[in-house]
Amino acid sequence: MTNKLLAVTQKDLKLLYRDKGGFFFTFIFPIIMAVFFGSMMSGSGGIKGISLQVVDADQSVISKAFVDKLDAAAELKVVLSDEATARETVRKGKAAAYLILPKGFGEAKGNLFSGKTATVQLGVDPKRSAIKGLLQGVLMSYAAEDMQSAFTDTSKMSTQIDKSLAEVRQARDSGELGDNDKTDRLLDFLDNLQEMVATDSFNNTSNSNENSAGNTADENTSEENEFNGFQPLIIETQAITVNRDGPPSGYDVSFPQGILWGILGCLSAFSLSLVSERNQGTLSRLLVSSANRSTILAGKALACFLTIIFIAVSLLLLGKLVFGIQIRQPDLMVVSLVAIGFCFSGLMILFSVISKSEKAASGITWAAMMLMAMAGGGMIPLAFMPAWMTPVSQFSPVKWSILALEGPMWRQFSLIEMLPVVGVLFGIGLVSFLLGVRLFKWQSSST
Amino acid sequence: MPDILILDQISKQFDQRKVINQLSFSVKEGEIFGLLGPNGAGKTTLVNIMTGLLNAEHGRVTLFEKHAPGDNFARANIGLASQSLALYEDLTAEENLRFFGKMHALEKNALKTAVSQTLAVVGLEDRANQRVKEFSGGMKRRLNLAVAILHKPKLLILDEPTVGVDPQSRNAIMESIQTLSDQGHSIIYTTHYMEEVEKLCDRVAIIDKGQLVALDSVNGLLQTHGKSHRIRYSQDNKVITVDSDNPLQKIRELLNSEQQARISNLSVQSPTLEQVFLNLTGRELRD
Repeated sequence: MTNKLLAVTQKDLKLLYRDKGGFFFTFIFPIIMAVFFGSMMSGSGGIKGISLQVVDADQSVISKAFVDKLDAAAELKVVLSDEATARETVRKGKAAAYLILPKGFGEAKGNLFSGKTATVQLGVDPKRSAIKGLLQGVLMSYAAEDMQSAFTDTSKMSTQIDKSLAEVRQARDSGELGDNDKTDRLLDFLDNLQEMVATDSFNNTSNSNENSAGNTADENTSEENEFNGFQPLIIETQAITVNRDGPPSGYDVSFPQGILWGILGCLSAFSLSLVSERNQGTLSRLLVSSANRSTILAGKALACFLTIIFIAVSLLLLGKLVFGIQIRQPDLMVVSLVAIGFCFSGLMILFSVISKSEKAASGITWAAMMLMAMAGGGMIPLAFMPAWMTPVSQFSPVKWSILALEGPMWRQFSLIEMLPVVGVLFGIGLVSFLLGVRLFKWQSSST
Repeated sequence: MPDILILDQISKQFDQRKVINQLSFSVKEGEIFGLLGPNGAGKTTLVNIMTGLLNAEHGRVTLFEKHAPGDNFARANIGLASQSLALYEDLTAEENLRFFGKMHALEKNALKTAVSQTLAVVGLEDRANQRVKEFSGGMKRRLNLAVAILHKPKLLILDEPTVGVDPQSRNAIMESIQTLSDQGHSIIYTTHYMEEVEKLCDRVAIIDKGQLVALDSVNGLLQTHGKSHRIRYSQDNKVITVDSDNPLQKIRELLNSEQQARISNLSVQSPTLEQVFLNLTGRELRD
């Protein structure tokens, strides 16, 4: 019996592979769907448009200018916010990171010779190291740009030097600086610098040091040292754990949908195969052979099951390797795939048995599939559906299948949470298969 | 020879319409049994009942002395070449044979041998790896027959196996059937081609409207039901055909008449199976 069952399975798989239309709708169409909708839902991708919540606690002219600079940056999508909202937004996964410009940011950044360095706080999920690295680089490069600009703007520079001279003299006079010799040398240096700036010879010198200033900025992000005054920015990173109540990317939504479309294509192809066999006479030939009816149906169901598993595994691999979708619980994913395969193989048997002609099979299968897909989130993600659709979707195996796929991907379902989902899928599959076999035998005996 | 198939008072109806009505006959082991009837006479329904694809409402079918249609022994020992080409077009000839061989529980070496032998019987050895959809109608018919004989069934049921094929393929199929008969297979053969029946069949059953109209050897049917001889002659450049139960009397009358001098090309044709068939089932159209 096993050999006969496997022979039916092998034959059906061969026929599906050689049927160009069936092959396209089962294997190629779902990939197109997943990539197309994934790219639509994910924006244009890359680092462009990293969502950044910015909190300007300083509210100085300099901090506002820095925020404006970030806002104009192509790499970032800046949203101004308060601290609590910014943290909450990142925690919920609705923004990639937050940036806090604390009080004193403007003063530190505006006074080049004060010995202070502007400090910012960057809040990001430690698991998202790529985003963290990108943001640090972007922030540092804009801060370095500001610093370079300050050095090359002689009027700004002159004001800075005057301010610093006044501060040092005031400190010396009040006795705050102990070593008068060093203080005198610092004052001499500032006087000479002021003279250079006044004669406009400074620009030539600073231009030649452009690269070394940039290097300093890159290499010193948080360490305190005696040259801190010439660091463009100190970035203090704050780890913030993101609660995953949303998918990490559009592909994490579109790939489960794509898998379901592949499964529906497979369901259609296999449903039609039994009707075709009936019409072309091969079913009669099989029924006259030594194979019994259950073996024939089980062989077809197994072929359908294996195809579903193949589609799902292929798309998940493609999604993971190329589009970075996440499968956080691979063991639960295996259970999900088996349940989904079982569910739709059973449904395939039922659909194929209730249809008398190929046209009827095609119509019934596609109508049922469209309804299941529409109600179950195969077309529009469940999250975007109106509330009244939620109870309707409970009746769609597509909804349970998408949940079964998303659970181990980004919903982080526990085993307990997964049990009802796979239970429903196994239930639908079992009832459909038994009903299909019963109907098939009844049809045979009643004719 | 023992009976390999016995139909006893079989009846079957679809939607209140009786398709088979208390039909009885038997087929002997080793014979080629012809089953003739106009369209809608119930031949295919009868074939489906013999193979267990349909259940008879009344009566009893016995196969191989003690088995019922559809039981494991019966299914293992019946080969069916249905009227439709029951083949997978996207598989090659060999893949089709291998698949159906597996469904008949043939395995490994036995399967391999059976496939190559069967391909040789129907003359398709050199097309073994070609997909069926690329075959001509005649090649498909031959493969359809090959699938039916692959597992060497004791009883082979051929439902119009030469429909729509050219004379060469038909000849090849008929030679194959004769070879199978010589090897000891019992064959039930339904067709609309009378010359095939005359050439192949040991006995012939003619059924009409679900009932048995006649059952005998071809010669027996001709003697019993072939009353009219066909007399054909030319007169005044016209061909004239006359059917007569007493051809000698008719010829004497013609030769003694005044027309004698104008008659030429006189011939007499013995009764044919086609005439017998039309005598028994009538001349009105059935479709």
